[in-house]
Amino acid sequence: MVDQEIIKTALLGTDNYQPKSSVLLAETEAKIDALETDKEDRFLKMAITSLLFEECGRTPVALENKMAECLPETLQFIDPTMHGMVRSALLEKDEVFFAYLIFLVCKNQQVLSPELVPDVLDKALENKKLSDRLVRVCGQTGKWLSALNERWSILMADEAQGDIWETGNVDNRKSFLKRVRKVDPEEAIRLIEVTFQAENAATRLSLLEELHENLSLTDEPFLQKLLKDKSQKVKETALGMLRRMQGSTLNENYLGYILSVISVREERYLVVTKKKVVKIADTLPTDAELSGWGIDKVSSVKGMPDHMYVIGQILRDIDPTILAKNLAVTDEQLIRLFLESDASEYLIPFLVTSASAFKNKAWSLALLKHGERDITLLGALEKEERTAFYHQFLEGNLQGLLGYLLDQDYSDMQMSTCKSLLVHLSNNPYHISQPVYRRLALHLPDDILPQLKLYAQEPGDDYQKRYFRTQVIEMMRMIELKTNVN
Amino acid sequence: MHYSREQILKMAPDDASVKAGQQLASAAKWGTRFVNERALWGDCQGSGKIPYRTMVDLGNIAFKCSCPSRKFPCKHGLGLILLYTSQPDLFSKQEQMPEPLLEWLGKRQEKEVIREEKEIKPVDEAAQAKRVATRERKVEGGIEELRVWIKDLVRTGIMNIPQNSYQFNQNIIARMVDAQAPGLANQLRQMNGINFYREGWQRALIKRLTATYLITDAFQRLDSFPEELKKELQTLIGWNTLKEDVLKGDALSDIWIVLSIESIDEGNIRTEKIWLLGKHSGRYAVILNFYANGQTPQHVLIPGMYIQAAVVYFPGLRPQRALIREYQIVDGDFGDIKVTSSILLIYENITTALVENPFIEQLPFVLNDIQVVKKDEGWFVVDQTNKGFTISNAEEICWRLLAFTMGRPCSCFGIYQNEQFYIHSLWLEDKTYFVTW
Repeated sequence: MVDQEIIKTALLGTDNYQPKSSVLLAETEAKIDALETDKEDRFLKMAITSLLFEECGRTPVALENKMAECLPETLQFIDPTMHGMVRSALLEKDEVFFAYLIFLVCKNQQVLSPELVPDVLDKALENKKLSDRLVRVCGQTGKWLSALNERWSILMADEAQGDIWETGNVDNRKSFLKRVRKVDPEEAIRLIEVTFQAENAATRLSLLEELHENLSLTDEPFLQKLLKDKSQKVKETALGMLRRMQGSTLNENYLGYILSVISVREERYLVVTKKKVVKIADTLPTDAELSGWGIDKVSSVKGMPDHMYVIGQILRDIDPTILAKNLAVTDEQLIRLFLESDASEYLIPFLVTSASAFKNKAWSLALLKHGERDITLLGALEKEERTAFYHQFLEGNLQGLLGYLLDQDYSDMQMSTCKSLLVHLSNNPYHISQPVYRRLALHLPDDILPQLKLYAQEPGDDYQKRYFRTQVIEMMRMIELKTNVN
Repeated sequence: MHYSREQILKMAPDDASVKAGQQLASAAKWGTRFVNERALWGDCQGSGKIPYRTMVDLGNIAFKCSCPSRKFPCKHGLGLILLYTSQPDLFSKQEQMPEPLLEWLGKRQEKEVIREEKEIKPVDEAAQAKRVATRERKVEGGIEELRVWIKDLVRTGIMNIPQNSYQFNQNIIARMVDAQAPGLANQLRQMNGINFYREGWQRALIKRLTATYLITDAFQRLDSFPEELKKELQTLIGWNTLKEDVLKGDALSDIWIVLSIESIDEGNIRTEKIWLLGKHSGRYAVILNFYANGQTPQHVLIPGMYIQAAVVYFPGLRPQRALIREYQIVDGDFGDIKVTSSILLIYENITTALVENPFIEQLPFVLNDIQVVKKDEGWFVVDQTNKGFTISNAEEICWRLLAFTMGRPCSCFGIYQNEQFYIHSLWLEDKTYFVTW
């Protein structure tokens, strides 16, 4: 009786089926058959005998191992203490501390212990922001495992073959395109052009968005073609890119129009001196000019004249430096003139967009000093230059401010900023969530501990105070942990 | 204090407590921190006005806290002891203990004395014999019902069981518990662990059913078997051998290597399995510990540890379950473990073991000079003669195993159970990896 016969009998039931005899166990079967019991008893005994007999006779499988070994690590492995901490952070899903530990491993130019690598590669798939760093700390083991696991192979797109572009899913292809665009922008256009029209609208749009990086005039012909795309969103995105591309036909038209309506002149001031002023003509472009510019002719802002609205929309897409050069003034002079002009009340929001889009330091500084509260302006400044403006954003845009303060390098915040932040948080403890408090702690210098201690001991029993005290104690613990790890 | 961070974390009742305990292992959280030879104590500022007073008995590890948590140990207890392990300097030495702590330690000591007194109470033999006879009758009745149940199943066929896989055996399990045959109840419970959604469930179920039937059949002619097999069968049915009786048996002194420690949560009970290998005797032993909710481990063993110990086996045929009478931690290196590098020999050992004892559930093995291999969708352990077996560890664990080896030859410890090979530990030069730790 073979095991298939046993299984068949068991499935159908002994009332419906009786197993065929087995040659190998004929003697045992005969003995069991001779028992004066019911058929179920005989079946059960024969079944266990056959199953054990079969199990006892098993032999190993023949298998040739053709797997290549992983290349030796060139970097040093983390020490057992760090291994324990990374493992704990992974097990406890402590994302904040895990990210910090990975930063340290990277900084120390080390790699993780191999057994941690599969979990960290999984994390890299989930966390796109940390992905590069996570892949780096996986070292050779990561590369070796990714070659064996299709799911992880996308993480190694640098090493991966171009077939990901043909066979991968949308996310894989997007990541691949992103990497190609970074190193060879023209190759990215060649890749995208081949299959673009065969993609669906959503994929076309998501692939197109990857071209924002390294946008240059060589992309113009491709983007021009997309202005006739079937998808409205694709058309709008392509138009947006062409508008902001300095030197494109569209952008040149913008510049031409702006130079025709804006001029810098010298005017007599206080009888004896002369002063430069910016003059803005109220000429509107013709309808023929406007068609295809992608801007609204009629103002949608209350009280703003139509011509100001048109000029403002165009100014958003012109690089301040280019504009200043064409008007024969410096960046600093031009923004000062704009701010002094009567049109400033209408144009400031557009100038802010332009300054932050083109990361123009002179304009950003001037606008911030003017009291503008668009946090993206900080992006054009050096880290040290930003500090002076942080207080402007504490009230009203704390989340945005933290985006600048809590950088990927875990740099310590300045003491004055820490103090202002703590004062603000002590009054508004619910403005940020618990994980953000923990993340914040990793940016606080050790010297802040006495200050934190005072907050931890502050009296008061209302919920707000108690909540903040708990967060402060947790921040102190995180600082302690940070000190121990370092 | 001889507890490591890992050992302390193992005392936690659940993962949330591990996390919370670690968060409390910070000086900032503790207003006061004291230590002496007998105890650790401190005040932790919680969300309330009054800080929680947490105490730890260091002599015979135990926790007490004034917090309202029903978990045991609570996060404060874990936090305090974790903090002491990582930064003992933060604790002030104080011989004078506060009144509540003295009282608590005193009560614990009293209980210990009462327990010892209980242990030396003489046994009423007549009453015991009566209890044994009553239980035997109950077990026999239960076994009779179980045999009828199994026969009914195979008469009508097992085809429809997957549709009712959680319920089909619940009544008979309850009946076995009533019949004081917990071993049989456990055998039946294992049927619920079969994956009925995967091909092969039929063989697994019929094997378990027929093996259980074989136990009941053998039990009916218990007297015809040798003493060891008799004991083995009694254990399988559910008769316990008292630990005190086991400890009276002959001990095997050796240097034992802790190959793996596995914890399985079943309802309110946590079962801990510690696999040991005698360095000189080459024998395996498994220590089973059962912890009710909140109980703390009775040992400080961690995988990879070497201990000089006297181990006493439970009676039975090819016994594996054992108790440690006394032990001492000694130095050792996993690299020294050399058993076999032949997978064929493992198969031969399985055959020998099954021939000798067909009821055997688990067969431990150590293999040297093997490789973890991924081929197509399967995971294998392969020896240097290109002979191998499939491993039954979950996919994510297999990736970790492969990563650990980096494709290089290594050694492994595993268990053969339910016709499958499960890897528990791997080691390579001076590195070890424990799947269940």
